[in-house]
Amino acid sequence: MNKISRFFCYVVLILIAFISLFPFYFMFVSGTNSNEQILSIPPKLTPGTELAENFGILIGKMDLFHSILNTLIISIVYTLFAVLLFSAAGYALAKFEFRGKKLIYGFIMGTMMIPSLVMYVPLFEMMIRFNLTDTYASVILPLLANAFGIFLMRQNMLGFPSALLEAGRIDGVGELGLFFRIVLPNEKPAISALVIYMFTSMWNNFMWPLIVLQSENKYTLPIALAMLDGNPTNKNYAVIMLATAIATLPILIIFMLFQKQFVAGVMGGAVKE
Amino acid sequence: MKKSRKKRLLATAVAIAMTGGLLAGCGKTAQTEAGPAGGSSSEKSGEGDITLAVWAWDVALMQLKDCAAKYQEEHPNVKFDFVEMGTDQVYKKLSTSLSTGNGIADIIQIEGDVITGYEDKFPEGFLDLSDILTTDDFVQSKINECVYNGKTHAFPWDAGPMGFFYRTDYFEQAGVEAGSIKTWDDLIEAGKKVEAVCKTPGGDPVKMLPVNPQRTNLYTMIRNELGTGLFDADGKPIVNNDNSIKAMEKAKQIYDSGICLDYNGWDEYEQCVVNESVACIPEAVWMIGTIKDKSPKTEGKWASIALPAIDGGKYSCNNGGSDLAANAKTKYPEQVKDFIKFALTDKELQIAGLEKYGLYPSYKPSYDAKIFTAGDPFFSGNVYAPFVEASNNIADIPASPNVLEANDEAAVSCTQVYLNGADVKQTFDALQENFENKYGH
Amino acid sequence: MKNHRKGHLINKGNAPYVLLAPTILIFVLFMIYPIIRSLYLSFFELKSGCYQFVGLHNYIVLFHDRTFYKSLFNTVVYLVIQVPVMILLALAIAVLIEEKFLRGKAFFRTSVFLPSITALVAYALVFKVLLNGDHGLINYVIELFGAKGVNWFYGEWSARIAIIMAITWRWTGYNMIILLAGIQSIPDSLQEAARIDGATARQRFVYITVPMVKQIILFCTITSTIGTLQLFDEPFILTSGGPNNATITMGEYLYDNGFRYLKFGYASAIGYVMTIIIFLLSALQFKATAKGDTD
Repeated sequence: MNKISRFFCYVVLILIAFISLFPFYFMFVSGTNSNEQILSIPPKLTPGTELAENFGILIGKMDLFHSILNTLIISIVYTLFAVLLFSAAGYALAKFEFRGKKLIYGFIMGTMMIPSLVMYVPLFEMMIRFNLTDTYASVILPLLANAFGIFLMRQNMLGFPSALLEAGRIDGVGELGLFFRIVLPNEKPAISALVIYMFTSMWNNFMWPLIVLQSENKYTLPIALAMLDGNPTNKNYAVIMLATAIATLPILIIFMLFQKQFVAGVMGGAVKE
Repeated sequence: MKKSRKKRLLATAVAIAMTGGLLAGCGKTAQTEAGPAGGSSSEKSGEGDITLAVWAWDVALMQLKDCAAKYQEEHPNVKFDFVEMGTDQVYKKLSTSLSTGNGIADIIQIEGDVITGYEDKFPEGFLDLSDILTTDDFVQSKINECVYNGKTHAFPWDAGPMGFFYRTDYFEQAGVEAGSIKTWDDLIEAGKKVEAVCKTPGGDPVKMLPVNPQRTNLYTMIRNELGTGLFDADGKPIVNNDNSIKAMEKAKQIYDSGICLDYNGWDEYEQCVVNESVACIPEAVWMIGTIKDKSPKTEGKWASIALPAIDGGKYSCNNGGSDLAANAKTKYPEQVKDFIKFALTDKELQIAGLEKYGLYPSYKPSYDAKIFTAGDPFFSGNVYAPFVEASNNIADIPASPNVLEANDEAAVSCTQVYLNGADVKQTFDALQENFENKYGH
Repeated sequence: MKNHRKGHLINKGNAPYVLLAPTILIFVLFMIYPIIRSLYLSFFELKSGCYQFVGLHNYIVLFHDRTFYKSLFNTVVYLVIQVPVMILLALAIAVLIEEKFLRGKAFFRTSVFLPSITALVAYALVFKVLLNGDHGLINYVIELFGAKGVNWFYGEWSARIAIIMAITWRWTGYNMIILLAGIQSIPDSLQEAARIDGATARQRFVYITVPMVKQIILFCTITSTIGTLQLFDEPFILTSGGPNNATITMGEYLYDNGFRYLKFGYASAIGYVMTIIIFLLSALQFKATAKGDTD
């Protein structure tokens, strides 16, 4: 490639990176400005001095501590369960031949086509019957029926060397032992990808927690955010942006920490088959 | 392959039978759910502290807090747990939870125009308040919202009689006499004069009135002046009858005359006041609060008269206002009723709510208070006068459980007429056909 | 010892069932049951607090419901415009990032991917502020270039474009990462050989990269198609479906019916028609690619 096209290539990528990152910048900066500054033409785009005041208004309007704690607990427990369930399921679907395999896998994949909105009413009825509404469990359990997580793990496990498994069997390692001691430790990239995928999807989830969580001290961050925005009068965009920034920050940090493994895991998932 | 399909079918059949079994408990669940509520009624006369959960938003929440404080002077054992819930959140919760009463506050603020829909779908969801409501004491249009199929499912709170706010300074500059605007045609003529002469502080020509071309507001207003709703008393859709067509033709004429300022959403509506970009706002009485809040520098420049009329229209209109409903499964039905009745029929509290938060009472005995003849010093003249008159002259429009959806659909038809220049008659014939398909006869 | 005992209890034959059991239980409870229950509900309507059997009525009304057709049309518009644009963009970015000479690969990869991990509520709010007609930054920039600002949420097409821009911003990076994986799996030797043979970058892209990652492009296309057909969040927060229902999607119409108008039966019927459409389109895409393979 000649110099000009290389230069052009950089320009394009830098522009795309800028477009991708700018809304984040806008969000963080707006949290430090006043509502008027955000709504002025053009909006103020440099860090301001209103952070403390916005934060004061914010904690007056929402229970930030509880929201973060709730979101954190729900997301972590959900991710733990998902990792266990889906790596076991993915492993079974990738490395075993058994009756009903096609049917089970086909069904799980098929559920991706059904709009989840349509299932919320029956699921909610069920949560009432189990007496689970307004609990963390009611948020976590139904969302564990997640086809994409299983797909991701299965794709990654397809490439797991069968020889390693056979060697284990010859050494007398039990089937569960194989899974816990040989498969799991060797699938770190896939698990990292799953962790990030599951954690972010729960951290950001809005509709289902909104339906099943009822008391204010159980609200997750997206619900609390939407409540801030929900009031049509006297909207304070600065406070909303600050809250948005606070809600986004943990996800950014987690992604930065795990991104190498994550990228490898997604790649492993997509490449095969 | 064939075999597995057969098995799948079988499994499906079994599962459907199972879910059918569950479904048969439709009436039963309500009874069993009612159990704990009945059980706890022993606490009714008890001395122990009780806590009532309340959902409301914005100024109504503040007013309820004031009411609660006063109520507690007499009832120190009653505590309140106030939660600020925006309308969207309240409705999402109600739509999933109302059938069980599970996770719903004891007292809930609901907008008057949607409450019938909930009552229709979940007749066991709200507590019957018939025994605490004296219907003659309230504005008729609010009673229509709160009584459905013979049950009082909510208690009327604030009303939204409509009037016509105008800028005295702009009118003066343009040589327009407010009293001369009797009809919508007069409004168009006056609007042209105003736009030709007046400038906003930002230097743009002043528009006559704000219109959201994606909403039904203007059309509804004129149609209500003619005394017609979207449905008749039997629930039949009547959107292509003469009154409806006439109203939309007039709304289109106003919009097409170029005197309107487009807005979209509440934020932009408020901006019309802030930027002083319109000379008039036909709106409900609660707009007083918004004008004072958003544009304190226009003090003394606003006044109010009655809405312009359409020939053949003899009524006034109502827009918005909410009611208080109670959860039928509340543990403390007696205390809930007692508090609601106190909060909404205490004259002093009603007047204080109007003065502080702009909540216009629908409780008629409060209308003899001084404020209704004295007005508000922010406005020139007695700003309340046209609204008091309007509230006694609101058309008796039948409530319909489908009004929320029907209004969304009608808004689309309005958009087509305003923005795409669609023919009124054709558009509303199509809308009628659409309603007939959906709501039957 | 322990291993030995386990070997008896759980052997190679039953291990997959044991491993799958919890997942299957979860799916039966929280997927199969709701699916069947909502299919069942689609033949009912909530009347006076009870579900009453209405037969095929919901489906018959649906086939005459012009708003549903409009939502179908809009969804197809998003599908036909947004999915190809996004996949092509994602592919182009992935190829650029894989260029040997490029420095800062990780930075570019991360930047483009980041939008896909933001909370929906958060990103929709940011876009709402940025796209505001009067004081939005995007119009400010457009006006800097001398053009007239667009009142994004007023015009039918401008509102659709606003939604398309928002979805593209959020999901391009996600597909890019997956495509990147595919490109990295192409043996270096293949690209090298082509380079030695004097193939230009464009030729290598058309004759090596695209055919080698065809399966992954199909995967991205199908998942994006499913995602677009179920689209709900963006129009819900950005435009509420307006103006003139120009941006309403099937998902949003389902939501309106179920959770605003309280017509759960009707909403379920919409859900089932959606599922059938999604199924047909996915099958079609599979077929189309499979056919391409045999040619």
